[in-house]
Amino acid sequence: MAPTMAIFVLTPFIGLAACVVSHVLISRLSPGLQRVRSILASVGVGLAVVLWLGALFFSGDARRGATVAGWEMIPAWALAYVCLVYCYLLGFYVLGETARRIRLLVELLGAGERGMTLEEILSVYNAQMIVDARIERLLAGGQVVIRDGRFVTGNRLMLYAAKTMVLLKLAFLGVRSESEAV
Amino acid sequence: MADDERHAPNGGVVVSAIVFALLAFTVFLAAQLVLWRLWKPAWQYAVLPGLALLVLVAAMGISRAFAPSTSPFLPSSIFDYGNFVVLYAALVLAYFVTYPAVQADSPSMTIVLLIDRAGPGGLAREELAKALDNQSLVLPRLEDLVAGNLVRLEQGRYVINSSGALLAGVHVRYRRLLKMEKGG
Repeated sequence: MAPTMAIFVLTPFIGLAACVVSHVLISRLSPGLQRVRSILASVGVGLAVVLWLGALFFSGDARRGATVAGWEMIPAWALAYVCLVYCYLLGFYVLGETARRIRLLVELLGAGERGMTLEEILSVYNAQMIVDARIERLLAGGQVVIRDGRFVTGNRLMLYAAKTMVLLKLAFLGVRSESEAV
Repeated sequence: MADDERHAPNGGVVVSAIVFALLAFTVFLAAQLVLWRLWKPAWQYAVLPGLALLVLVAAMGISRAFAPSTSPFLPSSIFDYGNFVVLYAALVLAYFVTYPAVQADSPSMTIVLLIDRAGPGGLAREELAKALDNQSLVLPRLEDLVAGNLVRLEQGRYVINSSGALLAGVHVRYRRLLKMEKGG
């Protein structure tokens, strides 16, 4: 395989790199911008790079001798790029944003070798804070709405995702929830 | 036949890259499903990548064993294999990212399910707080950290280990780079 062909195989990773760099730049240059908008913009930049490389492959000499017509690779690279961006966003960025384990580690990192008792941990990070933060996010996203002072289901997309997760738990673990497994 | 000489007989290489990667990924999922139902390994996060690698090697072996000309679904050139491996790896990584959500209950999803179960009358904030307490939201995650050797419990105090400090440090520095405050 020619070196240029090898570079084109890495197109999804190049798109991911463009997405991460633009995410950092947008977040730093426009700190006031809504997080979802900075994410969408950076994902768009990465996708544009993937499409540009696809067009380059289609039109240039790089594909000479390849077993593809050029444009055929774009869906494959775009799909791989979407998976990699999903990994970056959900596996890294959102993890730092919402994961309880990471938040607990950050608190314990701050405590150093002295560590923290359970009471000390719960004084800085507890169930009420977790529920309040999630409720705010769900209200802002429209997945939950307030009616007569009570929370009711809004946009059902997240509900369907949650039900799918329950089905996956049943399939893989044989239980409907973590608490059931205990 | 050398890569440089071969031409697509049916223009179906995208079929081999996408469909073969999707097929291999489906086999990986099915293998995990069967394995986990029969014997759920204690070191799930170590076994999963091993299983993914095993399926990848098996898929490439099958592809090599059958002549490329017999099916447009099989990769045939190094370029095809490269694209297949990249796509399969991307799918598997995306699954690895999703899998912890299958194992642990997400508070947001639990809240959405609780509200749905409550019906048209919905739920009050106090009812939610009662259903989701420290026992269900914080303690299991602390136990995960201890079990994962990221944190140790010493005389009633939770102390971070070097691996935990490394992981937390990466997130702290990255969020600082993004000019963001603590998450969670």
